[in-house]
Amino acid sequence: MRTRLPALLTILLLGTMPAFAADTYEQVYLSEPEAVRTIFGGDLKVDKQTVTPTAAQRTMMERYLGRRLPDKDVTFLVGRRGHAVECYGLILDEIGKHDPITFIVGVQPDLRVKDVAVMVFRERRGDGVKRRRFLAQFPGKRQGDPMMLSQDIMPISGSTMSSVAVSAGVKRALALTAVLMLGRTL
Amino acid sequence: MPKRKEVQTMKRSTIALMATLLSLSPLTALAGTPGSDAQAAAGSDAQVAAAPQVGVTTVGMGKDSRGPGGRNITAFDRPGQRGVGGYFAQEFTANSDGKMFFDQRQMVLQVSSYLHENLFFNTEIEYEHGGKVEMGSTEQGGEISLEQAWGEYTVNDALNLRAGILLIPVGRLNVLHDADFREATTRPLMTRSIIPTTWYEPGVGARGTIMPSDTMEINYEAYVTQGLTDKIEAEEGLHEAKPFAGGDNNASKAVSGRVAFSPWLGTEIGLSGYGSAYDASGSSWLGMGALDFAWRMGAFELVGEGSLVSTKGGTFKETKGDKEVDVNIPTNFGGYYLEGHYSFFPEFLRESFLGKGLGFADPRFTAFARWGQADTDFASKGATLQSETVLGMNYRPVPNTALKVEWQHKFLPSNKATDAFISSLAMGF
Repeated sequence: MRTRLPALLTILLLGTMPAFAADTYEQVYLSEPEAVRTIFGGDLKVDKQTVTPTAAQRTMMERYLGRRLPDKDVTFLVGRRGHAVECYGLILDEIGKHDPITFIVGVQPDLRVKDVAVMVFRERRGDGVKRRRFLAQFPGKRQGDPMMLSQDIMPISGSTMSSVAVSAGVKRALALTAVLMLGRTL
Repeated sequence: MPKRKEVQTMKRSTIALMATLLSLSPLTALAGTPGSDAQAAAGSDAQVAAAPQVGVTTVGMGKDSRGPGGRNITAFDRPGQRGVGGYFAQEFTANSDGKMFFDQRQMVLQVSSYLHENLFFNTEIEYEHGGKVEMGSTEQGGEISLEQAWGEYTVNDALNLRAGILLIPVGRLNVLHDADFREATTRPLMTRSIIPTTWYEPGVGARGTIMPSDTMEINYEAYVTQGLTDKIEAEEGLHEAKPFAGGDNNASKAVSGRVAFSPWLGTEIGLSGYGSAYDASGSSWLGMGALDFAWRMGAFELVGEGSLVSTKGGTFKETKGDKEVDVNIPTNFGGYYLEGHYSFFPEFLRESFLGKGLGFADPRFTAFARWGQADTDFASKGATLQSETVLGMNYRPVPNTALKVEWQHKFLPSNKATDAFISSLAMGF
């Protein structure tokens, strides 16, 4: 026991010191139910619907977006009032500077963005993208808009990569909804 | 030669001794390997490899010789999360006076590290014009400078305490000076003589962001620093008055600060000031005020800043040839600039070598134009007034790489004018 005493004292000493930051860092702003409420409100019936794009659909979307789609399947949240769809929602991950940012995008059936909300941010800097200051640029954007920095989206200074990530994610959400939910071509 | 059984016995005894010593070490606790497990592990060869997992090293608590640098302390031995980056700018200039040259303008290394949730360190080391410094030689050399080196303790978003070599928060461009962030290659005239960019001084202070609403921001920076010296002249303005980081010409210290208001993203107005005693006795003070703004609407952006400087005048001694002469210090001087940017990318080029042909999904062009003036002595009634017009364009295949071209027309004192074609490659990494 005596030989273990220095080690135990060290543990106690370390316990009283401010914790060094772990390599992983995660700020959760919205849980999934909270994010769904933010986009759909409380009065829509929201169901989940998973769709697997065909090879042709995947090729079309990847060509349009200029990059590979990360997921094999896509899960939509579909908000209905009665039988009529009022809003689609997608919870997406996009890599910021190093780690994924998780956010929800609401898309109206006329392919306009209803709203965007950041759910989880995993980096130490760049979390300004969670604020309305940045996100207020997206409601009303249409499928086909460039959604590119310095064109129709202004980045948050010091959070350029996070701004690019969220913009790219909103563009992806609009393309996925157009092709997989509404059967459009891009 | 010891027999095989003896070797095994010696090996087990050595491992048992090592395991016992390790159980006494605080490193064992950090590594999460209980001493008793290590002792038990000494019983068989199969368990030996798994026993002493002492991979965690903490500076100040001993140094593990099995770290990446052996017994030498490396960055990997320090706890925290860090990043290495910087920027690079190579310029080519063709002047109307016949001079034509490449300039390895900047190579800047930035190292930043989170030592703790609320402790941050940042540094910016610049090699300018190739960084070749030859003391005592007449050969024109480059420069190696520490433009930033500060530690910061975050109390909250509104209060961050900072100490070290700090960028003076006057105007916009002195802080946002990185070549890959700027659209043009050349900096505005006033950033040489009026706000002597890059302007840094050792000191302490605070910065913070206040968010009165979810769309609005107020930022501030306020520092006490070394202070400018008296090398203020009508030819160069404040350019030669920047202080030495290791000493001061007087006992007074300078105060500087900037407050910026941004009602929504894309619009910011900043008001800044600087005050410093500049002479050896600390009795003559210089005051500077600056106003800056940035406004962005879609692909269009307009930025600008203006600054006025007032001093008590006087003279300073300067060696010219083998003589020491008195140089007059101007009492009032100032400058301003306005710069507009427009970003675009024609769709018909998207599949070309400027776009997806070379694998760039979102390239863009930015056209820019600037008008600016700087007068280093208002009393000269125009004899020290310089003006410039700059027109140019850059191509960014990715956001932090820019290939820039521009034409600069300068109106110099005595009705002279020069033209220059300038191009550059700026890369942030």
